[in-house]
Amino acid sequence: MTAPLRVGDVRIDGTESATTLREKLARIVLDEMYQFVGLLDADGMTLEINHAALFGAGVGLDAIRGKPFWEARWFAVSKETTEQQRDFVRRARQGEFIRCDMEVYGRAAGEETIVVDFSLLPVRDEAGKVVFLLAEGRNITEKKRAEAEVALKNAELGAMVEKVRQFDQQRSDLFANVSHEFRTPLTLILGSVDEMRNAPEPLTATQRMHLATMRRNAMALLKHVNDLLDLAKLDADKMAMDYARVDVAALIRGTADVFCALAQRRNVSFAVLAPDRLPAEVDAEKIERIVVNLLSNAFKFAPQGGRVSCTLQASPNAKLLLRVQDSGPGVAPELRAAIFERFRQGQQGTRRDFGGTGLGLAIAKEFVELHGGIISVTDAPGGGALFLVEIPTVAPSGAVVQDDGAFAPPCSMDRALEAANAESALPDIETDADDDTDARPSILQVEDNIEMRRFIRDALGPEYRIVSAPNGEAALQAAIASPPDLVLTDLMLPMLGGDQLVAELRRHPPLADVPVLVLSAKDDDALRARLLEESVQDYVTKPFSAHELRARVRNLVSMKIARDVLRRELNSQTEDLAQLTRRLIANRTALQESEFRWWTIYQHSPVGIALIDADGMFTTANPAFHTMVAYAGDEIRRVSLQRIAPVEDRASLDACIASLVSGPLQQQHAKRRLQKKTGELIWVNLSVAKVPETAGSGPMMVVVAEDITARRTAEHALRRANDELARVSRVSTLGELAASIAHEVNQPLAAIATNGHACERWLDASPPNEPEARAAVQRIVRDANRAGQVIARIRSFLTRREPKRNEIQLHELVTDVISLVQTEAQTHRVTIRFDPAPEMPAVVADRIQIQQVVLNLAMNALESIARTAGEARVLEVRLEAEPPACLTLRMSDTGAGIDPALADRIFDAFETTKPEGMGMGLAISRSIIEAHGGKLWFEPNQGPGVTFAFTLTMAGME
Amino acid sequence: MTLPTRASGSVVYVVDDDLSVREALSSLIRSVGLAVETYVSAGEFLRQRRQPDERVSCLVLDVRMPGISGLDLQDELARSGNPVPIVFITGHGDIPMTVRAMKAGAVEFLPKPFRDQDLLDAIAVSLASDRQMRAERDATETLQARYNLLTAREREVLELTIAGLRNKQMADRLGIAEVTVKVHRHNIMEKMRAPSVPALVAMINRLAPAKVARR
Repeated sequence: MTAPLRVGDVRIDGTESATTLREKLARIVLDEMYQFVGLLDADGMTLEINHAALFGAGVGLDAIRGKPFWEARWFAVSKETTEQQRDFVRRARQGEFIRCDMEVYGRAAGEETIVVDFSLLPVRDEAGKVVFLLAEGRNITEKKRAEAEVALKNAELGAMVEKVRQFDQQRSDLFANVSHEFRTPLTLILGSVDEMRNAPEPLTATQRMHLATMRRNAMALLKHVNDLLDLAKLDADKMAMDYARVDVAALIRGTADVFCALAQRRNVSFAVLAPDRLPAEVDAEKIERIVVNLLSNAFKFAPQGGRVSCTLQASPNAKLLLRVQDSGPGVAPELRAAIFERFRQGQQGTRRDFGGTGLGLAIAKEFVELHGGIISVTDAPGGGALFLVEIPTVAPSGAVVQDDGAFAPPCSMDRALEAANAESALPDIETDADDDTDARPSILQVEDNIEMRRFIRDALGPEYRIVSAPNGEAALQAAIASPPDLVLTDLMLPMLGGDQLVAELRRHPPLADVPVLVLSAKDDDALRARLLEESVQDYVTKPFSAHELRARVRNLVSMKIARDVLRRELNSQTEDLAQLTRRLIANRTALQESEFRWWTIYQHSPVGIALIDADGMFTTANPAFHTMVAYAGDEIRRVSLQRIAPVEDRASLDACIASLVSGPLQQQHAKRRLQKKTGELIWVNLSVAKVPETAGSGPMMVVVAEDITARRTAEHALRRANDELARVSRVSTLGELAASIAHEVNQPLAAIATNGHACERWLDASPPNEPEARAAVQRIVRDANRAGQVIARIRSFLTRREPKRNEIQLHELVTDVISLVQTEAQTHRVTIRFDPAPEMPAVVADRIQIQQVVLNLAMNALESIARTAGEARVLEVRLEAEPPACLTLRMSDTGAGIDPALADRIFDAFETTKPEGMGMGLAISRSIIEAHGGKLWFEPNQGPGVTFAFTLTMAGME
Repeated sequence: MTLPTRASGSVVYVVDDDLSVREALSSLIRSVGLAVETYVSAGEFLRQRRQPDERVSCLVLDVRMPGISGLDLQDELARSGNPVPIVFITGHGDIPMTVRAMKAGAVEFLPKPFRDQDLLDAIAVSLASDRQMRAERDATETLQARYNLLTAREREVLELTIAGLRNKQMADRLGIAEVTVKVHRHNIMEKMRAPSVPALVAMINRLAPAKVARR
């Protein structure tokens, strides 16, 4: 320190001794200190005061030195302050350290008070006697003011917190009340809807669909309301725990079971792994809710064809571990805590892949925690989310545990499930009948909410062809594939948000001009303005009315169409001339075209067309006609129509032509034969029609001939095939009767043999008994005839011959048939009742065919009775005349009857109730009777069995 | 018409629903001198033959007939305790049917057409069997009538005699004098017309056991 310096009252010139220097430095410290410092003697008389203190009080040291400290200016704030200070001095002199905050004059030369942190420290000499008092004061005015402010703020804060708490309480109460208020009407709605759905009155498909929609939505709403109510209860700490001892494994299996249908519908592979039994003391309803919510969540996120698994196991230390895993997108690490918060879902912004309120996981978490458990989410191995739940298997001590044993799922489950199903069922692209000729304007609707989708479809109704896409991506593809007249899109969309979709659309030139109408619940003015400015034509905020939507859509679509038309007009102006020219030419050639068309038909028709004159001579014929009759080119003009008919038909053709030429008839049709030039006969549908006469030409006729030879051949072949089939069926029926027939033939044969032996014996007797021998021989002749008849009858039945109709007596026919089946009837202990009524009129029919029908019906009846164990075993045949023209045969049996389910089919071919039946009998029988102009039917009897009946026309009435 | 004497008093019933067969059988059977009665059904046969025939008889029966079948008639007759030997004839016999008929005691089972001699032989066997049956039945009835003449005490003595007890043993057992036993035994031999004790035992054995009073 070379240069002399001065600080306050202290001057240091460098000549001082070390001690003096130290004193001077101490003086500087004292004076320059920010704190107030003073030294008093033991009696409290002021010795030293530093600058800061003097300055604050606006006094000089001399004025107060040697005077009582408490009388100094600082403490003149009040009499109390002075006295307090005096007391401090007294206490300090006795050795007490005094410290307190106090208000003193300390600023603006002792005119303003400040608050100081004041202390008075007794200073002792070596002997421990108090010799000085050290007074210190730190200005804490600012700090004090801040503290006061903080205290004030704290108080305010406290008031606010209280208020918030009240609000929260009110909110919870509101939730609870509102939810309650919602639940009642919702339940009533659901009740009415269910009643309507189950009402006996038939509903139309549309009504059913609407009811289903109402129910689904009411269910979804009810689920949300229930969630809210649960949360309200949780918040109010009113959620009671009903501990019971239940088998959690069974509970989880039962709960998971209900998701199987959903899994199947969504093609999600669903695995449940649980031990056989896992008893635990839990609140079953809440556990079930946890599982339902976790599974609902898993199914919501698992993609089509994905996986969901639910695993339950006991973990050591008396806990159960539940793992629910899906193969969905998983939960990003930063969202893992958030997804358990209320109203939070895994995604933000306008991308929204999945519906729902976001309460499910929050409730699951609350319920897990009520059990004292832990829930967390992590990455599933192989991708997707894995939810882990750990819950103690023992109720906390003191909790009441009911011993339920069995757990009956509460009814809340199907509600939650149905709601979950409704949320996750979203079909892909949905298109109206895809028809290229559909001229309606097309609208591409992008909407992930199925109900909203339906609402819009209904609102826009039949005026538009609507293609619906569930997300932006699909919509973009659909729009590119087939540009619509309007795009109607939601903003909140899965995969590709509405705004992104619009941007993408605008990037494709063919879609650049397609108007876009945005529908959204997002009432975001900024976005709306930006979208309207940039790319979107109109914007509707939900909720909106169908009417409003229709009006806006109509505007946009008609504008778009008008613009398209204008554009086309512009493009086509240059083409107009060419178009006009073409049209002109087209008009001029129209007539020729018509003629040409006719000519083409004439030339190429497979039907023969020819013109003949009044004599029947051909003037012209088309190629088909030429081919048909094998007359080439000009040859046809040298012959007449009559000439190409077979000789025996010519006269009638002559008459036909003559009647057309002179008579009133304009045309005649007939099935006729024509003779080819080669001599072959063909059958034709021949139509001859008069052509109006024109000047200069005589009467002309146009001949149209259609070759039906092939058709007739085919018809013949078919009929032959039918006859053959009927014959085969007869053979088969007789096959079934083989035993009976053998018996029928065997009886007379046995009698013949026996008679022969008897005859021998009568003749061998001595004397020979001639009358007996003769009688035996006569019987032999008779029985041989009888055998012959039986064989003839069977042969005629099997013969292959053209059907031939004669007058026949039905009762004879029936008697014949009964003789054939009599043995069969005996085998099954069936009595056949038939009263031949010979006075019945004859019918015209083919004997063998009708025999076949009666035999078939009789065999059916016998078999039917054979299949029953009934005591009344009767087959009854009745013939009745039904004036004026019919005869009815009824055959009633007491058999097994006909299964009503088969009643419609028994007349079909190959339908059979018999073990060995071919199934042809009734089909053939019906076709035979119908070919005879009658009908064949059956009716159930009053008692057991059925009655088959058929009608035939009486002779002379056909 | 001469009636052969050797078979007088016998009759052959023929039951067949077929007229031709009935007539032929009737002629054949009559040609060997047997009387024939024909019936069109089992039902008619039962109605006509409510009383047992005094004559030696047999039945020629068609197996398969409307209403009551041949086999059912066989059962019916067996149940009525009035058995008649039966010869079955059939158009189409099968093995189960044959077995059933033979088990139920049919004499023969002839498929149609049959050799005349086979039928006539079967009829002869049947008639012989019926004749023997009747003879046995008559003998038994005679013995029964004699047995019915015995007093209660005599029946007791008879029982013990058959059991092989000596007179003294019987007297002890019955608490009577031996001489009284002897009188009883004498009376028994008289009433039963038994030439010896072994003959008596054979007679009693022949009687149905039910007809002998049991102890």
